[in-house]
Amino acid sequence: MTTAEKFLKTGAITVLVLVFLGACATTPQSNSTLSQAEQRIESLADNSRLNRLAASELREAQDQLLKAQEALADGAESAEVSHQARVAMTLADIALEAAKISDADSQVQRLRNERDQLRLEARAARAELRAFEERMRAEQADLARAQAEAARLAEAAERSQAELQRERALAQQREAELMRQQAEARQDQAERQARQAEEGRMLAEQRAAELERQTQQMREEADQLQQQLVDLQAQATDRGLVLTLGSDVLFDVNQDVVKEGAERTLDRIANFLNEYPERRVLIEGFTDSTGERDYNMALSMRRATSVRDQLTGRDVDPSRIQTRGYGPDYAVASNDSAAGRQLNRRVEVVISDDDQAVPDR
Amino acid sequence: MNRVIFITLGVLLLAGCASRPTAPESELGAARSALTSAEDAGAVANAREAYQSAREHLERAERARTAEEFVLSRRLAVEATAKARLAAVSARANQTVDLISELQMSNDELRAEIQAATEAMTEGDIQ
Repeated sequence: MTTAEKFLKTGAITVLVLVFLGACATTPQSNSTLSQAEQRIESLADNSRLNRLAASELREAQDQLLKAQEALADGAESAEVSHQARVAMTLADIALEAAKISDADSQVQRLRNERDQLRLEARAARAELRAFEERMRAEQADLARAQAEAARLAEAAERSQAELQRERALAQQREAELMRQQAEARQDQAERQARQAEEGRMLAEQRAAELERQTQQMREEADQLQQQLVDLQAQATDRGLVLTLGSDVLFDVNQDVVKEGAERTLDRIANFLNEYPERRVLIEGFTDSTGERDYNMALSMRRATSVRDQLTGRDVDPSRIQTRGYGPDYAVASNDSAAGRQLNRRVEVVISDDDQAVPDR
Repeated sequence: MNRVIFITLGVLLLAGCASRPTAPESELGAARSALTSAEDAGAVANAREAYQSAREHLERAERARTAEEFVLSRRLAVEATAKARLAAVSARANQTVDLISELQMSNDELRAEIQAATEAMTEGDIQ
C-alpha cells in the first residue's frame, strides 16, 4: 500500500465516520428543503388573508414545519428532515388551496345571491316584456283598426262626395227640367191666352156680326116701319110726318076709349117712335061740327090724351108727347055731307123730323 | 463513568439509527383512503397533477414496503397522503372556480336578457 493509497483509505474512513456522525449526531445542520419550506410557510403566515381564510390548514402546515425543524434539531437524518419539510410544503399548498376554496365559496355565495336576484329581475323583465309586447300588439291592433276605420271613412266620404255630385247633377237636371216645364207652361199659357184672345176676338167678331146683323135687322125694321108709316098714309109736311087716323076706326061715337081694332095701328106708331127715340110727337084731336062746340073741344082733347096713353102704354116716353084738342076747327072737309064729316072726325099724329118739338098750328 | 456514558450513547445511537422499524401499514392505509377520497372529490379530472403525484408516492411506498424498506415506505405513504389531501382540496377549489365562471356566465346571460328586454321596451317606446 502506497502512502497515497494509505491517505485515501484513511480519508474515506474519515468521511464515512463524518457522514455517520453527521447523520446521527445531535449537531443540527442546515437542510435546503427545510429552508425552502420555512421560507414558503413564513411568507404564507405573513399573509393576513390566508390567516383569515385557511387558519387551521396554515396552523397544520406550521406544526408540520415545526416537526421538521425539531427533527433537524434532534439530529434526525437528512432524508427524514427533508421528508417532514416536503410534507409541510404540501400542507402549505393545501392551505393555499383551502384559502382559494374559501374565497371561491364566498364568491360563489355572492354569485348565487346575485343569480337569485338576477333571476327575479329577469322574470320581472320577461313578464314586463310580455305585458309590453301584449300592449304593443294591442296598440298595433288598435292602430290597424284605426287605419281601417280611417280608410273606411275616407271611402265613405268619397262615396258621399260622389253621391253629392250625382245629387247636384240630378238637381241641375231637375232644375233644367223645371225651367223647361216652366217655359212650356209659359208657352202653354201664352198659347191659352192667345187662344182666349182668339176666342175673344172671334166672340167679338161674332158679337160684331151679331150687332151688324141686329143693326141690319133694325135698319130693315126701320125701313119696314117707314114703310108701315107709309102704309099708315103718313104725309111729310113742314112740321114733320103727319098720320091721320080716322076717329071711327079709333073710337065709338062720343067715346074716348080706343077700340081694340086700332091696336095694330098704334103698335106700328109706337114701334116707329121707339126706333127713333130722338123724335118728338104732337097728338091733335078733331071733331065734326055736329053738337056743342065746348063738348067737341073737350072730346077731341080726351081722344088725343087717350091716344097718348096708348103710346105711353107701349113704352114711349111721355115727355116726348104733347097733346091738343081742336074740336071742329081746322076741318079738312065740308061738314055738310056725311063723308065730309067722317073725314073731319080724326086724330092727327105729327112726328118731328128731328129732336125739336112739333110746332103748333 | 466515562464508559457508562459511552454505552448509553451507543444504545441511544442504536435505538435511533439501527432500530428495527415495522411495516407502515397504518400510514399506507391512510394514504389509500386519502387517495380514494381524492378520487371521490373528482381529483382525477380536476387536480390531475396532485392526484398523479399522490398516486406515484403511494405506488412507490408500496414498492418500498415490498422491499422491506419500511422507513422509506412510511415517508412515501405520509407524503402520498398529504398529496392526496392536496389533490382533493385542489379538485374542490378548481370545481368551485369552474362553478364561479359558470355562475358568472349564467349571471351575464341573465343580465343580457334583462338588458335586452329593457332595450326592446325602450325601442318599442321610441317607435
